[in-house]
Amino acid sequence: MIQRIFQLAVKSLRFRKLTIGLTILSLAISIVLLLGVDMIRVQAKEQFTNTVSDTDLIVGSRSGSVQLLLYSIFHIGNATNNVSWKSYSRITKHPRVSWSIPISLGDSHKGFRVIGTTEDIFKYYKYGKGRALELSDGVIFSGIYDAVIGAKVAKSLEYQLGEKIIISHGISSADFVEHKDSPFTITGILKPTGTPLDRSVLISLSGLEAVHIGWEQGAPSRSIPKKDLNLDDASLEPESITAFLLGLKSKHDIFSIRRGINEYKSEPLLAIMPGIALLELWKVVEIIEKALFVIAGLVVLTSLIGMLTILLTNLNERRREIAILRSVGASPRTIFSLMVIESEILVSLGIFFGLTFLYLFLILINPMLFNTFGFNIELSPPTKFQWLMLIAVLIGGILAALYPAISAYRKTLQDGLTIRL
Amino acid sequence: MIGSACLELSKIEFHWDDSHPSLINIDSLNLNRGEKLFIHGPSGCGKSTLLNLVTGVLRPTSGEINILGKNLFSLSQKERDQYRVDHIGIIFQQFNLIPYLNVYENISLPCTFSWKRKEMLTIQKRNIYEESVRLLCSLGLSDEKIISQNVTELSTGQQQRVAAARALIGSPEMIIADEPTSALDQDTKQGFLELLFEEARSSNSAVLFVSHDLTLSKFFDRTISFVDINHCTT
Repeated sequence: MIQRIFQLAVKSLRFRKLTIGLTILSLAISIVLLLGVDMIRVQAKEQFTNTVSDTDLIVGSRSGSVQLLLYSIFHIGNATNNVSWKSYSRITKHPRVSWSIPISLGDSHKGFRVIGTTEDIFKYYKYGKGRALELSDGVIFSGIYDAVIGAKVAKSLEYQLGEKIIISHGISSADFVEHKDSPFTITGILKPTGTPLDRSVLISLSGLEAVHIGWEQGAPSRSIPKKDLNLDDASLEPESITAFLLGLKSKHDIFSIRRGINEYKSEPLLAIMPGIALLELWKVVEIIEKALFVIAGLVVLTSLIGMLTILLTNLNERRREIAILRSVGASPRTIFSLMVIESEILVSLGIFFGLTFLYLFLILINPMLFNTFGFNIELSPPTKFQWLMLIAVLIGGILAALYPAISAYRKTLQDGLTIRL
Repeated sequence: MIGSACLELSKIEFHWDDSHPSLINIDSLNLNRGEKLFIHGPSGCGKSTLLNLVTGVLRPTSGEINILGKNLFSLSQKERDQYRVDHIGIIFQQFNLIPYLNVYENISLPCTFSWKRKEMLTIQKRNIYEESVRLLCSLGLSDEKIISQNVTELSTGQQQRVAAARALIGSPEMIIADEPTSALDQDTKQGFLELLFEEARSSNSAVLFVSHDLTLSKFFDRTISFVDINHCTT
């Protein structure tokens, strides 16, 4: 019997293709929103958390800790101030400091950030669960004009070892002032890391300093000729850097060193613990997250109400049909099941298309997400929580359908066989 | 079998609730197997309520309704719904067909809800499809294409014939028709009735026909005025 009712339900839905199709579409879109928000949230968090590991402190000029974290590690936004080389040298010479990685930002290559740093980044920088950077090809930089490029840079610009690249002054693609006089040679290509380093060009601090000789005014002054330089040249010691990462000999020292840096007299500095700064970041994001979640929930509710409206409107048109079904032996209970099955099919199709659209959408926006925020959404099946949300939508759909089904049941008893139109 | 009772009503009284007056108050009404009974009455006099009672959709406030010797209201609602499709074919005034089913699916509906109607075809050594084509043919729709057509493409006259085929399939013991010809023009009315009777006769089905159109009474074995048998106050 259920099978027969199911067949009837399918035929009845197909007969009302347009309204039913639109209802399914609106359900599907609401599901894209509901699950999409959650998927992006979960994965963004995961990838942010994976970007930096084993680093005890991040130090920059005094600003907000979230801001420092964002510009130093994630290359989002810019530093308001720099850290002087003098302070950097003094802090890193502290006996309880084990290692340090200086980071100097501000230049770019074809929209990819250029990071001035030292060889130590290959030794001490860790991401994921303590993984070090690895080269897929070539060697790390050793000369002034050597560059190591991230996997994404190599892939999207189709660069190979030995190619020469020109670095532009400034980070927006509108800055077209290029350091044409000093091209860099690609000596190494990093393996993909899933961090912003994939979209970065790593050069030595000295190299970064060298291209800026004569650029003190922010634009090239052609009068000063470049002399032959080498990496250890004292004149290539930068005056300042953007930020630096610190590793300590013992975790017990983190708080005291942090306090020391934050109270540093000769320069206003800020030292943050990456994990805590991330938590702070989540707190900021949480409000938006919750707002998005509420909006997504309301959109689902709206489309369920839309479905209810359609079902109720149809119901009046279908009183005739119900009387006919009654005349050929359908019981009020059969009519009730027909209504419930119809809306279950509707909601199920909504969920099915919602999931399909969602994955298509994720595939589509992935390149954009990567270019803007540096992370990819992995196309993984829905999480337990996401399945629970889908089940909630399904149950919501069935509940929404109960009302028209019950009133169909009532009308069935009232009308009997004799409703006239 | 002709002569044995198909429908027996005794002391039927019906009102919606105590604040409403009686709509139906009929002492007795009988219909025998194979008999063609015409109930005449103006519209709005309670004929439709009577049909709902006879088909077991409405429960009378008091009295007894027997169909083929079985008291309808000794059955549960579900059993009544089943009993209805097993033994009664119904034709309405108009809009008889389910718009999302094609002609064949509409005709075969009673067989999907009733094993008994399907079983009847098996006894007659016919399958549902052949029987549908045969019924359509004998009701004057001989075009082969019509069986798979959408019912929305049919004219009113064609729709009423399809409805008749649905009522007749599986040879139910009683055909109930509620003004089935009122949407038809004068010429097709008679033809429709003749074909309907022809089919009803061959399966020995009784016909209970309700209409306001007294000119049709001449085609029936017996004519009753609804107002005469219904002794209600209004």
